[in-house]
Amino acid sequence: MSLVTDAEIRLQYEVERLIFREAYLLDNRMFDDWLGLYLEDAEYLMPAWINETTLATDPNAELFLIYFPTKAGLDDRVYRINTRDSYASAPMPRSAHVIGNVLILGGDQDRIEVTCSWTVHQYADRKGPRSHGGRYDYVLERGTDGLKIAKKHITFLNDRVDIPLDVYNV
Amino acid sequence: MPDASGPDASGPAQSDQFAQMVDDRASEGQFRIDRRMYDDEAVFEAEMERIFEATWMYVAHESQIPNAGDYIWTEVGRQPVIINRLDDGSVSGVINACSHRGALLTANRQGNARVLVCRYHGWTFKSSGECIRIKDEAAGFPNGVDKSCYNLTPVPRVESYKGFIFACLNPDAPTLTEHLAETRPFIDMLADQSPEGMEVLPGSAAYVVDCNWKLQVENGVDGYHVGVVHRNFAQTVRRRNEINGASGMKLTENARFDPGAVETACYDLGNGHNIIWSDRGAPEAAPLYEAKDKVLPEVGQEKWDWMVGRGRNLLLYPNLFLMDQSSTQIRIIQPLSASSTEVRVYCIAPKGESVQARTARLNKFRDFFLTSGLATPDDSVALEDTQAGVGGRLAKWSPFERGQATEIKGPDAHARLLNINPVASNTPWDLETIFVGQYRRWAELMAART
Ligand code: FES
Ligand SMILES: [Fe+2]
Repeated sequence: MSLVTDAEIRLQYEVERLIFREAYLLDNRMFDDWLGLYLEDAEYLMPAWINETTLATDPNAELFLIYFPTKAGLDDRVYRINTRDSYASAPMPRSAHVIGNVLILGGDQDRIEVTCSWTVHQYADRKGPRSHGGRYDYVLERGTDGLKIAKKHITFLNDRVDIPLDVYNV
Repeated sequence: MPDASGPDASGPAQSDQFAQMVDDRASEGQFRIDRRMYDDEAVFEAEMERIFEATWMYVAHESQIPNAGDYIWTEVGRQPVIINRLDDGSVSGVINACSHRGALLTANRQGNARVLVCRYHGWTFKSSGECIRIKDEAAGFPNGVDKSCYNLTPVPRVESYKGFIFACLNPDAPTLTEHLAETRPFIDMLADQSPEGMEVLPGSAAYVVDCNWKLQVENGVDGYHVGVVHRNFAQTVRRRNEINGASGMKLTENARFDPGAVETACYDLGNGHNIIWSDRGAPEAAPLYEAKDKVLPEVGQEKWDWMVGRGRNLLLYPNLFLMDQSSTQIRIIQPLSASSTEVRVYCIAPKGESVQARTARLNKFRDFFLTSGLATPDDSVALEDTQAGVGGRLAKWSPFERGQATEIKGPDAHARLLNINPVASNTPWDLETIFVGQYRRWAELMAART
């Protein structure tokens, strides 16, 4: 492997700071700040499994667990949670995201493709502790106020879960 | 309230008393069930044997196994089964257990296999179950062997109705047609939505809820909770509709969330089956609406009005829902234990619909019908709370008594238009008439056999 440049280190740091910040904001229920990390036309996808080895790829022909073509879908989620009227979200489970293996796969300074692994540890009074995980594939884009999320693709390892899933625990 | 009937609340339930857990004195205005039926393991074991392994169970949709050799491995009650398409195009089933030591014969939940090769010692079977190879046969049986002694065990009954495949482990059960009874016109309302047929879309989702299967089965046709548990769903989509100025298929129709806003009813369809329906406030929001010119001439005005103008939750007792609400869903309730249940869901859609309709259908499916959506999580947690509550032994009974005064024996005017004959009808849709039918069927099947 070639020598690491300062520019690479700076970019890696900048990318990680954004991804870790997203996890921090979700775990601390700072949803308005969290929405601010996304571009208006950001895509958010979490496909279902089609069989043991294949994930769905086309959200308009196959089943996705979550698919939002724009940020408006994330906004709906936050609105619903904030109604304080969702049986599943009041009280909310406690959660902690742990993210690792952050790897820049391609792109340039202004549009960066990133993959990383995640786990979420969750605790809900009735259920007790649960853990699940998978991979995030991001596309990050640089705008006038820094890096923002243009796309988040969540690979969720389970095809069967015993807890509700929402933006705060995947 | 008198406590004369029903078994003693202390101690485990006895198998000859299960049927008495339904305190059926409807003529005196009383119908209630003993909550032990939601968490007693002896009840659960008997249910597996007397209900799930004794009546017709939905196993797959024909569109999932279109070609010879296609198979699905699933469970009927507690038993693993393979449902497959044979070379002659028929659908058949075998118990998914090798005749040698019992290993599963399929590596995957679905696939294509013209022969089933056991991965343990290599015995080989035709998809019909016929044993065609015993590894090292000559060494093991130097005097020869009749391999037909080692055929796989067939599933006693496998039949389809309009693409929906059912299996029954009880050779003496009534025919599928008799079993489905008055549900057939309502199955047709989903099955006949395209002249090309219906298809299950790729991908499924499963979620486990820590509640008894019967709570799930009640919930799928419980109109009563909709305006409470799903109030936040209605509020969220109403806001979204306004922000987007949504119209046509992009609109998420939500009239049923407001009591009294649209006409609704429920029917007890016999054999434990039932349906609740509510008129759609905006039929043009239904993805099916575009198919009017194709479908209306085939089915006639009255049936078309039911298909596109009415949201319907159909329960095929004991464990299948065919939902046609904002989207279309197959929901299978698979009991895991007395207090744990798996729910597996699929989106079913008319073949040949437009990309816009398919997109809208999937959007609305994800919105409501998934445990990662805006509504189902709220059901799941409400049912887990209910399961925790029914453990309170001193609070013994659940009443199903709302709506007795308005119940109609037989069809109401809407059902009569289609020549459908429910056992009983009631309006609005959230009255408890249908649960009386459910639990009478439960008691009938659970009555101790002699
Ligand atoms: S268990 Fe199948 S060949 Fe032995
Ligand atoms: Fe519900």
